[in-house]
Amino acid sequence: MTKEDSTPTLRDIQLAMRNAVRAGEHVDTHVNDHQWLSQHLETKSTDSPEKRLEIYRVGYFIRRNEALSVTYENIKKVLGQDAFSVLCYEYIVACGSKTYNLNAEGEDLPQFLKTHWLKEQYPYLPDLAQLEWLFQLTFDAPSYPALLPETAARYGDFLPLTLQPHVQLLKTNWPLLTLLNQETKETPHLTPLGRPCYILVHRDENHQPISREIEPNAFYLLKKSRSRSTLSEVCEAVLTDPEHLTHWFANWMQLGIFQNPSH
Amino acid sequence: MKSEWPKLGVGVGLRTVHYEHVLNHIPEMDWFEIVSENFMDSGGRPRYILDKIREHYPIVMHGVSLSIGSADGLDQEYLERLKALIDEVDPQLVSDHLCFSNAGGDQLHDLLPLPHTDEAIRLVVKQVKQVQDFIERPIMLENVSSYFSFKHSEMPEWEFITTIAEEAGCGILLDINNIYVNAFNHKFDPLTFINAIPPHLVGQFHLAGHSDHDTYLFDTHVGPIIEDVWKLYQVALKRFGCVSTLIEWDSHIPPFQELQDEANRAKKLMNITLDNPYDQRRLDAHPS
Ligand SMILES: [Fe+2]
Repeated sequence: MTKEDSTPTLRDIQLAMRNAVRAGEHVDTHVNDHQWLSQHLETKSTDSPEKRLEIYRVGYFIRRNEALSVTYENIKKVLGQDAFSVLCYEYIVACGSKTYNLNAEGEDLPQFLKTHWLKEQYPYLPDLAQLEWLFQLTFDAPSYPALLPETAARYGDFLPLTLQPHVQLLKTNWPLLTLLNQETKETPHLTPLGRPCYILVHRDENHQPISREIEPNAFYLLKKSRSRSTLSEVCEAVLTDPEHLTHWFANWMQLGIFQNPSH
Repeated sequence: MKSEWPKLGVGVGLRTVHYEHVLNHIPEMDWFEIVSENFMDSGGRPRYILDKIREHYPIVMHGVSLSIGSADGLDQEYLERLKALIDEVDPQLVSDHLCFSNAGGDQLHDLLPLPHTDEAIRLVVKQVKQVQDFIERPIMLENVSSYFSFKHSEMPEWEFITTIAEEAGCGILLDINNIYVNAFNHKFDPLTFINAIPPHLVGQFHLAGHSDHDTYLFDTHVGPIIEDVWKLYQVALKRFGCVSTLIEWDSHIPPFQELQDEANRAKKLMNITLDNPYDQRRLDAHPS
């Protein structure tokens, strides 16, 4: 008995539907699958099963595209609607969705852009996408009770430093923060800064992601804090004068970017 | 036997565009339904808003990604996150859809229909029991809209969902609009569907708008509920009693007042259709 005339298993049906939904407009890679699936489907209408499968395929592309438009709104602004749609289409065809949550769609877009043809014209796109992805992580990450100055004082040099999960760090050679604040509708032509720019992303008091440029040593200090090092270990690794350190830590505690170690 | 599920009155889906209005005005509404995934994966602003809203309204959790009919099995990490949110929110009801939404490791972001076969029943029953054991409470499964059927289906949709609910010990979230849509798409009488469902299984109704594409109806959750669906709702009220009812509106979402108008219409229908008028009835739930 061939596959065609036997009753299909649930798994076979689901895999064939997955292939039909994921196929781009050029379905040649899955054409046999399509024929196999269609013969197991029926419509009580003049519409063919293929036409009705198309409803799910289009829906899949629209939903993922909409989710990408929300997360990558600045990429969309730079590229314009048409080029952004092309990018989304190519991304969706190339990368299946591994997350059930559409809000977390697009994790691989920064990587995807590194080898994408659009990078030629817009070499800063992967970094911009990375920054927007960090905004997404910052928006949804949990936050724990924040480190307070009195707790910090109690621990002294042995204070274990742990960043809040919503704190993110990015090093880039592009003036991305200028780009984000730009009001103009024209496509910006960015030139590299000629020096690295260190960006801290965290949440403001309204739970919205916010970004700011920080000094290189502040960046390395925060990076080191990811590994739950103590205050003295962190300061030893990043040699900075005490006045700077005091100022940074006071500021960071005010922003609530460290966790309370006793949590 | 009528439904023993909590009777909450009429609620609407909680959507981002209405957060500010709801928090600033605390409008009259019996309850809100949240999309579980929008909150179970977020520790930021969405959770903060939910905590505020919970102070004023009962909450019902409705998921879209459980994928209860997936031949690949259930996603344990998903279940853990779902349970954590349930334990925190203590919702009045928990539901998802009778469908699958992932296959072969790919998420398809849709409510894909299952063939109505004994094989699918056995799988879904097993997986519903797993879910209910894990979250330690019953769930409801919603009938979904579909645009084709499977030649090898062995029974109609109403028999499929009833068998699953009875064997798994779960409830049914009866989407009246989806019955109407499927009745048109698959050429059956919607009353046959409604009359085949045992009343004690039904824990919630959904009412929504859809779009007419000539050769098929498309479940878009756009626009007001059409008159024929309101009529079916009255039939359902007569058969199933004062079941908690949700107004769904998910695309081109209007100002909150418009949703409230639709909810008020549902309340009015409860009043005139049932012996125990809506206004004199005591609701089963109050904000925690
Ligand atoms: Fe529904």
